[in-house]
Amino acid sequence: MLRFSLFIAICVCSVLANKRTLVLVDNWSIRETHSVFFRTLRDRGFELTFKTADDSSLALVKYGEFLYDNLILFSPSVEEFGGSLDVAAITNFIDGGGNVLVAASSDIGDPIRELATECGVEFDYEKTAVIDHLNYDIKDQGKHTMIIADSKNLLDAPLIVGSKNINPLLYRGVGMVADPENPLVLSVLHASSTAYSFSPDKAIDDYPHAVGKNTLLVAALQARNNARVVFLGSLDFFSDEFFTFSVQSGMSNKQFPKSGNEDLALSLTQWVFKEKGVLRVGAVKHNKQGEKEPPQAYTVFDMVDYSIEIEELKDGKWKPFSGQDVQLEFVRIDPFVRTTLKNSNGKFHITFKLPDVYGVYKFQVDYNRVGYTHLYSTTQVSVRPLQHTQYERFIYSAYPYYTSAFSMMVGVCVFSLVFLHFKEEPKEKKE
Amino acid sequence: MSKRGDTSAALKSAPSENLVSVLKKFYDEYMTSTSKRLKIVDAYLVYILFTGVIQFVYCALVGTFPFNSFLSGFISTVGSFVLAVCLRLQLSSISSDRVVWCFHYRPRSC
Amino acid sequence: MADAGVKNDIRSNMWRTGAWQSLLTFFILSLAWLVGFSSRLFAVIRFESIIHEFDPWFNYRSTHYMVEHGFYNFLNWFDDTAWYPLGRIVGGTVYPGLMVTSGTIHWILHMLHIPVHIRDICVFLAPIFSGMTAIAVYFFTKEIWSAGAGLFAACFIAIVPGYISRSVAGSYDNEGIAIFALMFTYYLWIKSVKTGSMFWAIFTALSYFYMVSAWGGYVFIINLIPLHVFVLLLMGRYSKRVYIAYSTFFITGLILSMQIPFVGFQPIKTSEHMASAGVFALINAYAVIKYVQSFLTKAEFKFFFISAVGGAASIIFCTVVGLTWAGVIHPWSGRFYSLWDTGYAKIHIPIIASVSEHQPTTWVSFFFDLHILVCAFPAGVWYCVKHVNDERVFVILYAIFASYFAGVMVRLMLTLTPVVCVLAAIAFSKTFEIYLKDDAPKSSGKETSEEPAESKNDRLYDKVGKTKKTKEEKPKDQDAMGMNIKTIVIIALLMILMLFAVHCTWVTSSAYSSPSIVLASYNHDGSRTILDDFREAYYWLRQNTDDKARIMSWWDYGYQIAGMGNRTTLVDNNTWNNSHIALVGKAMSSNETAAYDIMRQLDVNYVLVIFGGVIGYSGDDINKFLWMVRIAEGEHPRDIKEADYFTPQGEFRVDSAGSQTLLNCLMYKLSYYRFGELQLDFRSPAGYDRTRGVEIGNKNFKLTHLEEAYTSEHWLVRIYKVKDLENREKVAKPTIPAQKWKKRTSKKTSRKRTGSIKNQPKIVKGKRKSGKK
Repeated sequence: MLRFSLFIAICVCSVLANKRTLVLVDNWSIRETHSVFFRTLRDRGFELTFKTADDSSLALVKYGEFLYDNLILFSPSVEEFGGSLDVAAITNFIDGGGNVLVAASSDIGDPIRELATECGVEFDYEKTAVIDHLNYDIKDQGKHTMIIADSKNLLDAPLIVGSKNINPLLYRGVGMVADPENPLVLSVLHASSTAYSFSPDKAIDDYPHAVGKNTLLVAALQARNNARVVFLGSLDFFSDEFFTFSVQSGMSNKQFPKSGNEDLALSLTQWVFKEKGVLRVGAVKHNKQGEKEPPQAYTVFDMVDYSIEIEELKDGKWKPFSGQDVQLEFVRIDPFVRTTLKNSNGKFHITFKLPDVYGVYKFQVDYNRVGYTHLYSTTQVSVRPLQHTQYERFIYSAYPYYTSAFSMMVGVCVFSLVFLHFKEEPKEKKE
Repeated sequence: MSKRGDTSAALKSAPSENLVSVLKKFYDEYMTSTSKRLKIVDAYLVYILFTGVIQFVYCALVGTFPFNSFLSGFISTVGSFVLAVCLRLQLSSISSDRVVWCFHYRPRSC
Repeated sequence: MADAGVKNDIRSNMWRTGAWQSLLTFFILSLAWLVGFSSRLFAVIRFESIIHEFDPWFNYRSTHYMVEHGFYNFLNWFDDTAWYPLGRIVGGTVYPGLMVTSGTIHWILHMLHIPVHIRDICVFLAPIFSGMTAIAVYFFTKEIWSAGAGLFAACFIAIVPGYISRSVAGSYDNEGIAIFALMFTYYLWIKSVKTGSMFWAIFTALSYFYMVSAWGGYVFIINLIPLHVFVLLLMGRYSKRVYIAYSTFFITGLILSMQIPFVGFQPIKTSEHMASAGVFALINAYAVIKYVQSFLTKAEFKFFFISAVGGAASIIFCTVVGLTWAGVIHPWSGRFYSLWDTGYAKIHIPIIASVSEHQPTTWVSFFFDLHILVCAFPAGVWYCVKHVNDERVFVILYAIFASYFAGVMVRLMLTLTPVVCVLAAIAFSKTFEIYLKDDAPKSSGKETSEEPAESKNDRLYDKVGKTKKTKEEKPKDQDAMGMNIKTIVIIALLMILMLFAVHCTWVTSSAYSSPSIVLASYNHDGSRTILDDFREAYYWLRQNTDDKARIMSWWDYGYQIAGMGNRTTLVDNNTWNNSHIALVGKAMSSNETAAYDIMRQLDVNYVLVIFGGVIGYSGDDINKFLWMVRIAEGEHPRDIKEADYFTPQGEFRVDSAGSQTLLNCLMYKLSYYRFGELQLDFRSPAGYDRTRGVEIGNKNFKLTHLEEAYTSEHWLVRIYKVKDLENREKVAKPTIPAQKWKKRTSKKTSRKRTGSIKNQPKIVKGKRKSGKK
C-alpha cells in the first residue's frame, strides 16, 4: 500500500515535472485582471505560485536545486526584486534550463530592462510607448498608444505563434529592439512600418530608438541550452479586457469581434513552457554494414550504417519525430559527406561510404529549425588507412612480374646445379 | 682531342663497315677464347637479361600500376644479373691467374 | 725430453706476441666499452632513469606500443591521438630500427626470464651501443691503417663529446644506434673493396639495411660509397674487386632499403639517391668496355669506346634530367637541399630554420666537441693522402664531405665525429710509431737506412777519415738527441691525451647530461633545487582531464604531452604538416576572439603554454614566439604580419613600449595572465619578467573565452581550459544608450529582504462603495 501510493506520487510528480511556475506580479489585482490567462494555464496543468515582486521570501534556488521550472514576470515596474532574487539569479535560472515569460509596460523598471539586455533584447526607456498614428484602436484615449498589430507581422513559425490566420492583436506598451545579427533572438511580432517608439507626452526632438518594422512587440530567445524566454512589451496584452475586446481601427471601418490576443497567448505559452517544439535524441548507432557492434576504428572505403532516433514532445508524450530534412555531416574540420537522413518512424538512418582520407571524424547531426530546440549530436570515430594485409593481392596485370620472380628463383637453382656438376674437358682440370 | 679527330677522319670513309667488322671480330674472339664454364654463366646471363627486358617493355606498355610488383620483378632480374656477373668476374680472374680459390675462404689473409 | 719440449712449446706459445696482442686488444676494447658506457651515466646518477628531451618520448611511446601489441600492429599503427584531427600513420612515417632493436632486446631478456622494463632498456640502449660503435671503429681503422690506430680510434670514439651528446643514457634517439650502423657499414664496405668478395658485399648491404631502418642519415652512406667508387674510377684504380663490391652492394642494398615503409619508393624516385644509380650504370658501362677492350685492338677499341661511352653517357644524362624535369624523379627535398643552399630554409621553410640544431656550427663547437682530435685530424688526412690506396681514398672523401656538412649544421657534427676519431687516431698512431721506435745501434731496425750499418763497419776498422768521422758521429748524436726528444714528445702527447680525457668527461658532465625535462638549479651554497614543473603539469593533465581531451600547444611539447600526459595533441615534433602548425601558430598570434574561432574549429579543450618569466627559463614560448609568427605568416600572409609584432623601431619588447598586437595576442595573454599581481622580490616591481628583464606592459587583463586550469609550481607550465560558447548572447553594442544618471543602490539588507516596486497602487483599506447598504 505504501509502495503503491509512493509510486502514484512519483508518477504525479513526473507529470508535473516541468509545470511548476512562479508568477511575480506588481500588485495582487493583476490576478483578477488577467484571470482568463491564468485559468487557461491552470487548466493545462501548470502549478502556479503567485507572489509579489518585492516579497522577501522570493527564491528560485534552494539547496542547489531549482524550485520552479518556469517563471512568469508580470511585474514591469519592479525596481528591485525581493528575497534572493535579482537579475543575476534570473539569468542563472535561464542558464540552468528554466523558461521565462516576461511582460513589460510603459512603467518598465530597471531590472526588467537589465534582464532583457542580458538576453539580447533592448527595451526602450520607461514612460515610452509604441505609438502608431495609422493603426490605433478606436478605444484609444488620444495618444494612439493602444495599437493594432496585424497578424501578418507575425514570425513565420507555426510552432511559436500557431496559425497566422488570427484576428489582429491589441497592444499597449513599450517597444523593443534586437540585433538582427544575434543568432539566438527571434522577432516574433514586429510593429507595422508606421509605428515608432517614443514618449507619448513629450514632443519629438530626438530620433526614436525604434522605428517601423525594427520595433519589436514580442521577442523570443532560445538559449544554447534550449531554455526559452519570451519578452512582451505589453502586460495588458494578456489582460482579460484585451482578450475579449473587439478590434476596430480608428482609421478604417473594419471591425473584428474579438482580438487574436488569446490565440497568440496560447501558442506563445505552449512554446515558451516547452509543450511544443521540443526534440530529443534517443539512441545513436553506427556500425559497418552488416555488423552489429561499432568497430574500434573504421577503415577507409568502408560502408557505414548510421542511425539516430529523434522524438518530439506532443501533448505531453514523446512521439517519433516526423521531420524530413535532418542532415548528417561526416566532418573532419570540414564536412566530407553531407546527406539527408531517411526517416522511418522516428528512426533516421543512412548508409554511406567513408571517404578515402583517413583521420579522426565526427558524425554530426546539427538540426536547428525555428521553433524547435537545437538538436546537436556528435560522435567521434577514427578512420584508419588500410592495413598492409588489406591491399589487393594477386593482381592480374602483375602476373608477368610474379612469373619473372619465380623464374629467377628456378633459374638460380637450375644454374647452380648445372654449374656445380659441370665437368670440364680433361685438358683443363678444375678443383 | 687531335687523335680523336684523326681517327674519326679516318673512319669517316667507311663507318658502318668498321662497326660491323668490330662486332664480328669481337664475336669470333669470344667464341674461341672463353671456356665452357664461362659460357654457361654467359647463357644464364642472357636468359636473365631477356627476362628483364621483357618486363621493362611490358611495364612501359601497360603502365606502372602495381609498381611494387614491377620493382620486385625487375630488381630481382637486375640483382641476379649482377651476382652472376660477379661470379663470372671471379671465375675469369681465377682462370687467368690459375690461383686456387683461397681468398674466398680466408678473407683475413688478403 | 718430451716434457721439456712440450714445456718449451707452451712457454713459447705463451710469450708469442700474437697472443699478447689479442689479449691486450680484447682488454682495451672492453675497457673502452666500459668507459664509454659509464661516461654516459651522469644524468641517470644525478636525476633518475628517465627519457630525456622531446623526440625520445615519441620513440619510447612507439616502442612501448610495439612491445604491448606486437610488431605487425605497430607497423599498421594509426595514431589518432596525435595531429588531431588528421591522425598519423606511425608505421609508415617512422624509422623502425630503434624500436625493433629495443623490442628484440626486451624479447630476448624476457625469454631468459630477466624482466627488465622497456623504459630501462630504452634509457640504456644508447650507452650500450656506444661500446659497439667503439668496436666497429676499431675494425674500421684496423682495415684502413693498423691495429694500433684502431685501438686509439676506439678509445677516442668512446669518450668524444661530439658523439656523447646524442647517445647519453636517456637520449633514446635514432642517432644512438645509427652511428654504430654507419661505422659498421663502412667497415664492411672497406672489407669488401679490399677482398672483392660477394660475401662481404652482401653483409655490407645487410648492415646498410639496418642503417636505413635506423636513421634518415642513411642518405650519407648511399652518396658517399658511390662517390668513393667514382673517385676510384677517375683515379684509374678500377679493379674487379671494386666492381664486385659495389654492384652487389648497390642492388641488394636498393631492394632492402625499399622494404622500410617510410623509405618506400624514394631510392628510385628522389634526387638524393640518383648518384648511386648513376655510378652503378657507370661502373657497369666501364666494366663492359674493359671486357670488350680485351678482345679488340687499340684503334678499334678507341672507336668503339668513344661512340659507346658518348652514347651511353648522353642517354643516361638525358634520362635523369628529363625525368627530374617531368617530376617523376623528385628534386632534392627541403631538408637536404638546405645543406647545399644554406639560405634557402630561412626564407622558404621556416620550420627547418627554426630548429636550433639546424643552425650553422661555430668554431667553438668544433673544439668543444672534439678537443685535440680536430687538430690532429688534418695530419691524419695528410698521412692517408701520402700513402694512398683504395681504402684510404674512402676515408679522405668521408673526411672532406663530413667537414663540409658539419660546418653547415650543428646537428651534423655527429657524422664528422667518427672520421675525426679515425684520422686523429692514425695521426697519433703514426706519431707514436715514429717516436716510440727503439733504433739503438745493436738492434735491427726495419726501415733503418744503410748508414748505421756502414758506420758500424767503419768503427770496426778504426780508420779515421774526416767525412767518415762525421758520419760516425752523426748517428750517435742523432740517437742521443733522438732519445730525449722522443721521450719529451711521447710524454707531451700522453699529457695531451690525458687532458683530452679530462675535457671529455667535463663536457659530458656539464653540457650534455641534462635531461631537459627536469631542471636543476644550484643555490649560492651549492645545494640543488630541482624544478620538476614539466612532469607535474603533465601528470595533472593525465589525472584531471577527460580521456579524450585535446590539448593545443606549440609543436615542441607534443611528444612529451602524448608520452607523459597521454592526451590527444594537435601538433607535435614530427612537423609533417606545415599548414596545421601554421593554424596553431595563427591561433597563438591572434587576439583572443579570433583565436577562439580557430580553437572551436579544431575542437580544442585545453591550451598549454610554457612560461619562464618567474624563474628566468629562456626556452619558453615567448622567446619562441617569433617563429610562431613567421610560420603562421607563411600560410596566412594576409592575417598575420611579422612586422606588427615589433615596435616602430624594430625591437621585440614585452614592456609597455611593445606593439599593441603583441600585447593583446593570445600567447602574451596566456603567458602573463595574473602575472601582473605577482611580485617576485621586493626590489623589482610587480609583473617583472626575469627572462626578458623588463616589467610587462599589459597587466590586469581578463580572459573572456578561456579560464585558467592549472599553473605549475614555478609558473613554468600554464594550462588553460577553453570555455564553451555563451548560453545567451548579450547585447554587445546597445542601440538604446544606457541612462547614466541612474544610480543603483540596493535597499535590501541582510534582514529586511523586501524589494521595491514603484507605482505601487495605494491600498486604502476600509473604503467601500458608498452604495452599499
